[in-house]
Amino acid sequence: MRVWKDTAPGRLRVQYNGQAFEGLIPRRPFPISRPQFIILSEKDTAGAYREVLMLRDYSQLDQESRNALELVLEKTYFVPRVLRVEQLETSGDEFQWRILSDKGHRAFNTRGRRNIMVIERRIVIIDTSDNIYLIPDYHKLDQRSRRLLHKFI
Amino acid sequence: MREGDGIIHYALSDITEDGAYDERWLVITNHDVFILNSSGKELSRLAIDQIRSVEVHDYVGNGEIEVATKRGPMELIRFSRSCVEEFRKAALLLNELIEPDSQLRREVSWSYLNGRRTETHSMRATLRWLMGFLRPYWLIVTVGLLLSVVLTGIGLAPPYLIRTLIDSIFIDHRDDLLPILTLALLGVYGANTVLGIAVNYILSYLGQKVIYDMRHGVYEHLQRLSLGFYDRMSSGRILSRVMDDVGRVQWFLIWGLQSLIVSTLSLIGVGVIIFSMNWRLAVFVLLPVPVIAVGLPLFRRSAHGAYHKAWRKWADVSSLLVDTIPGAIVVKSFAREKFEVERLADGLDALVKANLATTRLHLRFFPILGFVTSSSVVLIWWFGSLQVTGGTLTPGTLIAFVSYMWMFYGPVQTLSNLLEPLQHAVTSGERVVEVMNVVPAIKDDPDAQEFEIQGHIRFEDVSFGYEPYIPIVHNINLEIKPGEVIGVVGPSGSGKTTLTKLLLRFYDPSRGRITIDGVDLRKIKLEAVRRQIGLVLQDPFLFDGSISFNIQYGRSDATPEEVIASAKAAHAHEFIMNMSTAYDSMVGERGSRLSGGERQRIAIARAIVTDPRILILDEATSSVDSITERHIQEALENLIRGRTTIIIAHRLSTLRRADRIVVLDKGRIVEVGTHSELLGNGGLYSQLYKIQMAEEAVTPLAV
Repeated sequence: MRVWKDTAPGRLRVQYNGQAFEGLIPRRPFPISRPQFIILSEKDTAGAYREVLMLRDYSQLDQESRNALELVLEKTYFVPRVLRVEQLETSGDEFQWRILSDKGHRAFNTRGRRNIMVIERRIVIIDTSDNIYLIPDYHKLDQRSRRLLHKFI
Repeated sequence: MREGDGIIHYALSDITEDGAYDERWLVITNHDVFILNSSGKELSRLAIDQIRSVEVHDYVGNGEIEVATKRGPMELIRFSRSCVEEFRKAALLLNELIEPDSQLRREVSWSYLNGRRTETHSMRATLRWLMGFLRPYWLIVTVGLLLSVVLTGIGLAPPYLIRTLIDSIFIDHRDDLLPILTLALLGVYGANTVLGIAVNYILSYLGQKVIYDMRHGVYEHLQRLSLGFYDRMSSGRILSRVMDDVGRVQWFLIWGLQSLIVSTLSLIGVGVIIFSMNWRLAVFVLLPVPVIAVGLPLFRRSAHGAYHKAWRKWADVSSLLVDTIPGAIVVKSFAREKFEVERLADGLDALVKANLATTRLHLRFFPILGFVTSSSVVLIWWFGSLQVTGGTLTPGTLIAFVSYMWMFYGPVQTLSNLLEPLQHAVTSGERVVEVMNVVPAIKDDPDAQEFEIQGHIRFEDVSFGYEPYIPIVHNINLEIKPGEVIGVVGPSGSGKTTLTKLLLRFYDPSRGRITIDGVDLRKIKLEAVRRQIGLVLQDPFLFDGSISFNIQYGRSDATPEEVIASAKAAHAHEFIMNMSTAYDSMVGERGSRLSGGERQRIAIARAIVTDPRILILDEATSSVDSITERHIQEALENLIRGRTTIIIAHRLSTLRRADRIVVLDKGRIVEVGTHSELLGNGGLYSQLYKIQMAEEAVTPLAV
């Protein structure tokens, strides 16, 4: 399979098994547990999706295709990666975070245990406004960040 | 009683026919019903043949069983609300017996199948079982105990050293002893600290291990018990046993026991020391002991009432707040703010009064206790000083004595305080043991086999009831061929859900048997049966996890593609993909974050993933909007395809689609046939059908 950017924004052109497709939108059925799993769909005028292709692991694609795919996914799945945890405090049920991410500094709150998901070495954080942040491998963070995380989680 | 009759059932009432409190017995035999008074004298007798119908009437504060006989209606017996359950059963039984061809008359007993329990266990047996949890850790327990004993021993040393300090150094001016003594004291306190940390850590470690074992063991046992147990005991009570009772038992095993042992040892140790020092003074020490030992429990008993009242008043205030604050919109729309403030003020007032009452109770006891103890101390000082000035006692000894005295009252108080937790722990222990002793009613036969189900089901003369003599289903004879779709209908309480519970072997039939592909259900491994029969309930239960977790629940090896495929077949894929975290979205406790229609479809997807050979579907009666309704219909269609299916049907569309329909009434099959056949019969089915048609005509058309 090969993927290119389409003329319309947020859409892709795909060539697979000798067939060519246009205007496909990538979506993630498992954005947290399996982010590399992609479903490519067409969207009709009424707003309904018609699924065309399912891709189990897009990291298997060539570099160019991956870049094209990720560029579009970037828009629909805006998930900053946490580089450093600068502050982490709690008052009962809410956590107050301040982080440095690959998109810049950010402060936010999370509420409840379920919104901080630890899946092996990945941590997915969902804040009170439903924004999502990702720590791809918490072992790779600096000492201080790890200490702060370990205190509560 | 007639020749050859036996007593089938009896019930005791507490109200006479005139409405006075006294015993009345209702005794049912094969042919008659007797009413006896408390001494067994027969007051009236009625032949069952004479009875045409039996009815239970509920009134305020009492109830009665009324029978219709050939001579007209008459009251059979009266009873207070306390006996309602007993007499309802008796009435049901009587109703059974008045059937002209009742089989029960010829039988004397049915076996009680569900959940045999061993009878009350002695306290000793409970304690022995509890101790069993300590056995794997006997080494740590021994070490912990030994250290505790040493700790206690060390604790007894300081007053002795101080006595030496005063007598040898101040009086005899043996200044050379000062450094040694100081070091000894330091050493003793240091050792005390270190040992204290060690003992504390050991006990905490032990505590965590034991409570893990207990909770794990109890939960594991719970999972083995049959559904009958869960039906009899509410979830709340089961939860409280696993969490609270186990916790209380564990606390006592670890901390309570240790406290008990250490306090007793201290008591004995200090007692020996002070009596060997000066027995006359020692007697004075014993004076407040009865006051503490007896007074504390007495106080506790009376305080218990006061505490409970204060707790109830606080609960009242709390529930008032929980009621009116979320209900602010109602308070405001009716302009009742002032009224609510006054209500709260009344509640707060009562709370204040109750709290003050407990304080007063405290103040009545503890200061007096303190005074008695202090008086004792004064007496000892006085008497002791006399002895010192008289030369029969050294000052150091007196000072040491006073220190030991305080070390004596401590354990006495601790021991008195331990009585209540001990009682609670034993009660909790009994409750946990009660659960552990329940034998799973449904389990695998030793020669049960693994089995690949094709789907040919046969009910052979099956009868079943949760209680003996109160059958819910009778003489069920039904054959279902593989791939058939059977609809089951009937008024509520006719036994539809019970049939499905029997098929899943949540209960075993009291009579008759169920076979699958010719093999008795009891001869197939439980796990194999349940794995291959899919169940979709009316109000499906989802676990607090992600959607994908719930869909894969039946098969942990389901691939993501299979999960998506099942969700698509269940018409759930669309709404799931519309959520930002799609299949990773959390559904909340019991699936509370999803709507009823969404939960239904996820439950259907869950069933599809397991690819069951036989499907049992309990259709939801709640109405959803037409679009969701259509989705659910199509989802069910995908699920049913090709599988032997039993649907407890409510929707007309389902009924029309079924290959055959079974009509149940009061636990019996009254009609079997296709939809058109049954309509033609003009029986119960066509009646129900007409009612359902009328209902569905008014279904909301929200688009």
